[in-house]
Amino acid sequence: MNESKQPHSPISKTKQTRRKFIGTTAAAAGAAIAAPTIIPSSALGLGDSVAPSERIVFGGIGIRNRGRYDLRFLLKYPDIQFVAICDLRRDSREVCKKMVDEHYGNKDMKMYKDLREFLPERTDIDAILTAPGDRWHALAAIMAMRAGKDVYSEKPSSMTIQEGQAVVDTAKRFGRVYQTGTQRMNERHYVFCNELLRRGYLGNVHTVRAHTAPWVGVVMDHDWLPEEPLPDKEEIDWDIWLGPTPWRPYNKQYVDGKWRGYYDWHTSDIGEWGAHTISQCQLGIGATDTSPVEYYPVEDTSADHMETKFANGIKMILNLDKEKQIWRGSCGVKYEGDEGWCAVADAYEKPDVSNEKWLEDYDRIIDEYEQETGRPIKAPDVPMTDFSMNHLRDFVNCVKTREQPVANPEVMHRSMTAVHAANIAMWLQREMQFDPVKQEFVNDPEANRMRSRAQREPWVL
Amino acid sequence: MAENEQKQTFFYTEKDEDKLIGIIESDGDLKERCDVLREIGRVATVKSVEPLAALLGDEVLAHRARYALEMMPFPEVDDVLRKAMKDQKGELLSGIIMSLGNRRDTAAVDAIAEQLGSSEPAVALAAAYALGNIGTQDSTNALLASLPESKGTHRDAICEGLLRAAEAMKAAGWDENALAVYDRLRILKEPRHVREAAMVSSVEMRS
Repeated sequence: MNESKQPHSPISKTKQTRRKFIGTTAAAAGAAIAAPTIIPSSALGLGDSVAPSERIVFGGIGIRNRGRYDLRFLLKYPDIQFVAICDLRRDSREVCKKMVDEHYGNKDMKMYKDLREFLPERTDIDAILTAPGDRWHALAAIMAMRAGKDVYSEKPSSMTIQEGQAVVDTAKRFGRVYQTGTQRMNERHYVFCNELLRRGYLGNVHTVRAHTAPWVGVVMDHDWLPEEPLPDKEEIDWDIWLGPTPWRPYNKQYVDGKWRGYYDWHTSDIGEWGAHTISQCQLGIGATDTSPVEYYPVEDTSADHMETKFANGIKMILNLDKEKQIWRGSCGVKYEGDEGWCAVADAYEKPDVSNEKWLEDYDRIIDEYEQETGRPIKAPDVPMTDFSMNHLRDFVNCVKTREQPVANPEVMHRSMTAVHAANIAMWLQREMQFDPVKQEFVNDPEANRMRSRAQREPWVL
Repeated sequence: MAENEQKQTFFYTEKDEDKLIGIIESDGDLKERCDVLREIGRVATVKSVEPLAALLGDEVLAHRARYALEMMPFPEVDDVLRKAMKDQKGELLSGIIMSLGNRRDTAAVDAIAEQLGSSEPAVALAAAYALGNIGTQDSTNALLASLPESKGTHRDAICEGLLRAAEAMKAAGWDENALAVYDRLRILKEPRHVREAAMVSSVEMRS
């Protein structure tokens, strides 16, 4: 495991502003380079409180329920301007436009249906908020990054190991800032537990537990709902909705949200919450550049109690926790060491710890973390239930500084690799070994064939 | 949320291959054929390659045929994909090109390079990305030759193809070849983000 890839490490060794980054690079290469596109604040209807060069121009892709939740926070920042939405559904486009126009008090928000037109046309946009559904997350992020935009993508970040690597490669190729919406990584109780682990309060950690969702299980569905007539493409573009995934006949229920649990579009209940909790566990133990090397499936189709193991011997156990014996809320993690344990889940007033005295250090640890990393994990006036705001703020800050956000492509790829490998082990019902360096299963050709899925033409990873 | 009453995600093993081939070669139920095409690539031997190749021109099933073929680690797959390039056009051809690129089929470089100038945008874009993924000096030369006349999204794709090729060559230890690509891209006027990316890589490789 690589200490240098801890979440605080910057892309470049020196903290730089966007302007400094461009200028330094140009000077070093001995070549002239154009200044970034800057929209004057007057043209955006903004005041002078934030310099135009420090203002981030945002667009959105597939902003519906979860996306609007994110957008609500984003609009609160004076240093961003949200200017355009791209969505394959007319009603979603219009809801988003209404929300943004009402916020700014104008009619300026632009709407697009197809991201192949939207991304190349809007060269003024710096960053994209994207939340179109699991099947689209990797490709939408990749298309935005290859158009030169930074990306905040809802989770999960990939449908396959290959997609996750493609996100890593594209971000690195174009020097883009990317953050997955695993917002608990910037939530103070979760950070406190990670810090207890990192600072040695728990002694030698031998086991971490990741909460999995209780909804659809791990057995994936292949059924087709009854075929319905295709809608007008301006209302709902079914071909774009399917995107890179296999064709099937249209049914509006899919588009309205009944896509979870299908093999083509979902990463199972392991991915549903594991995108949060497995990444949290891997962040906690510093396994941000690797994945578990052993996977032990269980017969229970919920994957409850499934064990995985890292190369250093630490076990990561997936727990459904139906009886609520480990957690009292959703998306929990628990870290167990030879000197104690800690646990946290959503809506906790304080983390659970084996030694109450540790909580006396809470404020100091959080302060030190914030000072060390510059991450806004205890932003003033943010209720505990609204911690997405901190995670989005972390992303916006990183767009400016060009530092890596906490849920950067490598961190998310490695934890989603654990999700995908766990799913494959469950689906094939056999123990597996995985080589995180080669990113392949050991002596299991069948599992290795499942590391990727061909994208439907004309979409390209 | 899907109504999920089944107890397993996959239903077939290698022992079922003959039965699966029979289903995909039939004119039977579309859903059943789609289900088989989702699974057959995971368990197939070389025996399934030709039956799958026969579907590469089917508007509905071509993607699912590639879905199976792309994951099968047999050189015979590259052979049928290369052959299918001659028979297909439009988006179906773009898909075949992408699969050859993902499989890094060096024998397909000349045929794919011919498609860089295709009047069909999906084909030309797929060719650029595929040549980048293959990442040999030959595929790089084809991309470089197309660069001066390229415009818009086609130019973006050729540039990304070159960046991918440079990464592949760097990973293979051909640093001089990779550096030459970055140095070519870092003096481009447009696209700006490609120029910046190439400049950063060029500086990193020299430092």
